[in-house]
Amino acid sequence: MAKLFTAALIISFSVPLLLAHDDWEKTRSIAEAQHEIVMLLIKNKQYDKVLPASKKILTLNFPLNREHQLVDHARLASSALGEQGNYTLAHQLLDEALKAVHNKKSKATLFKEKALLCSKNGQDGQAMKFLEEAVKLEENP
Amino acid sequence: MTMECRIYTESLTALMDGELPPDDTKTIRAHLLVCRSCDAEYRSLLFSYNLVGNIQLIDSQPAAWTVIENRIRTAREKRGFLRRLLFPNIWVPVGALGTLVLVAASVFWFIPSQNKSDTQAMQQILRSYIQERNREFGDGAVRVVNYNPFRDNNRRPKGNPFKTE
Repeated sequence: MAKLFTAALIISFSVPLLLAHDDWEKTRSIAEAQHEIVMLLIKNKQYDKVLPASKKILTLNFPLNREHQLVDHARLASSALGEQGNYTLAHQLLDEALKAVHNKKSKATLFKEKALLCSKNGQDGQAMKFLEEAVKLEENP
Repeated sequence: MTMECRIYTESLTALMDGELPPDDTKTIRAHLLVCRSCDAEYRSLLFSYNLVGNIQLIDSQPAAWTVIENRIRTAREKRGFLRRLLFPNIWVPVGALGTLVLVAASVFWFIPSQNKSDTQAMQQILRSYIQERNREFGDGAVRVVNYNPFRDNNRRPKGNPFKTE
């Protein structure tokens, strides 16, 4: 009887964890594939499809401790767009990412990325503003 | 006060000085007899007029002006040489202008230098961000092709893929 009770207790604790793990695995897998799609779209210069594809990742319910992955996705995609000279879309993508993240550190990193894009595009004044935003966020975490 | 009163009161001084034509004088005097406010104004002016007329003029001695002039001249000469050198009248506006220029120059010097230091600080932040970014992602070309932030690098195959069912 005791063994049965112990087994039931273990199962009752581990099932939600396993289910949560499965949920996360599903989300991660979708995001992984979608990121590849975004990067391929950028590579093939199909710019009109980039933002909707990226939004599919950004609207996934990412836990707070995984938010840095969303930030990395936005940084990589916007950087690739910047390298192709499409700064407008790069900024739009980063703006969408800024809406999706909640952590101040994540937001600060995205602002820095925007500043970097502006700096590469010769908009030093604008870059300065974004850096100031980033510094402000980092100073009040 | 009617419009008529306003016209008549403007002519009261001329009336007292006897500068008005006889017809106008008659008209105004007739008006003063019937209008209390104009009459009061006239009496007040007349009082002042008489008062000024009764002031006695002082006879100044011819030597008085020479005395005053001498006092002015000696007062100017009393200023010492050093004082005149240090504070001549011409140096007051020149000094004021110089101070103004100095203040303006210092303000313009200070603001750009502050902006410059701010820009340098921001450039430093940007530079350190780029270094940090390069450490995370590596070089641009490699990064874009290979790196996927969502990839699970610790994933192990659950079973043997070649195992027969």
